[in-house]
Amino acid sequence: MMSAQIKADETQEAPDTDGALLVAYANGDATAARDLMIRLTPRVLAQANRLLADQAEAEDVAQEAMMRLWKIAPEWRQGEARVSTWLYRVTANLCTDRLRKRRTVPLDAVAEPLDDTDSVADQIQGRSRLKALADALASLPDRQAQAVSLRHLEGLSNPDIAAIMDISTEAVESLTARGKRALAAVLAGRKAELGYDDG
Amino acid sequence: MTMVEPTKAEMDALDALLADVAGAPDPVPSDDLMARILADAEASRPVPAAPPEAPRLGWRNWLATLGGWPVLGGMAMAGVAGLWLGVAPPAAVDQMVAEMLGETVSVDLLGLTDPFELEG
Repeated sequence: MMSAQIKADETQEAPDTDGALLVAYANGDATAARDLMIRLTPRVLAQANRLLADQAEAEDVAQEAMMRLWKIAPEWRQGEARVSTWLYRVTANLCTDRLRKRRTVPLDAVAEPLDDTDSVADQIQGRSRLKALADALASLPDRQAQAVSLRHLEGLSNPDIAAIMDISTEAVESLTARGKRALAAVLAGRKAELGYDDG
Repeated sequence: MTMVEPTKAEMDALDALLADVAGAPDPVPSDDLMARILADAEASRPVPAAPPEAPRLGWRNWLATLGGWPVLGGMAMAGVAGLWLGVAPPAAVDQMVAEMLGETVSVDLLGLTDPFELEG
């Protein structure tokens, strides 16, 4: 999970130090790029990995998201938007693009291959939970998948999600609720596989 | 599209799954990824703008407007020459002035020294 310091920096009230670094980068400051990369890449990678359950794909998304950050730097206007908000949006969009492509592939076809050993149950209940959730998210409409992941995987508040998705807080609540119901329905048949009891 | 409302147990299972995934350790960015991102940043880094030229002092601007030090030297030479010609004009200058402007003469336009015969 994200550190408390990074979470605090993402609140709308805190000064956007990332924005100041981005402006410095746009002015040719090479060290600002390194600082931004060290600060932002772990969070972008984590977000992408939670959505995609595939580290190689998550790394590609992280690189693409950071590339878009470098490209937009000269046009960045400090105070109009927060870098963290912008980056959450870009990462979520890149991930849902990839999830959408997975919809054309049957879920069984992309399930993790499991070897025939005693650790099969552990594999299913460990890594496969992440994969099962990613597969289920892929079956949702993009906006629902984004709202659910930002709320329940990234732990963001509804106002922050509203800013990221450029919608009202009420719309976030609606998307999240519908998304969760849809996810529960998709995953209902996989409880045993996921290691959760009915109790 | 109609959707079967999930049971409480199914929603609880989903919450547990979401909490599990959210609480899982974050992946550590590989050195290769960081190197790629840094290379992208360097390739896209805008060229630093040239520092603004320091404002020049007023008299320097004035001198530059005139044409700089060579022009100022020429003006100084012309000033000295003019002063010398004024203080000690060569005879050729007097003669040339006389030819151009003529001799200095006093002219009594009325032809009278005491037109109203006030002097007695």
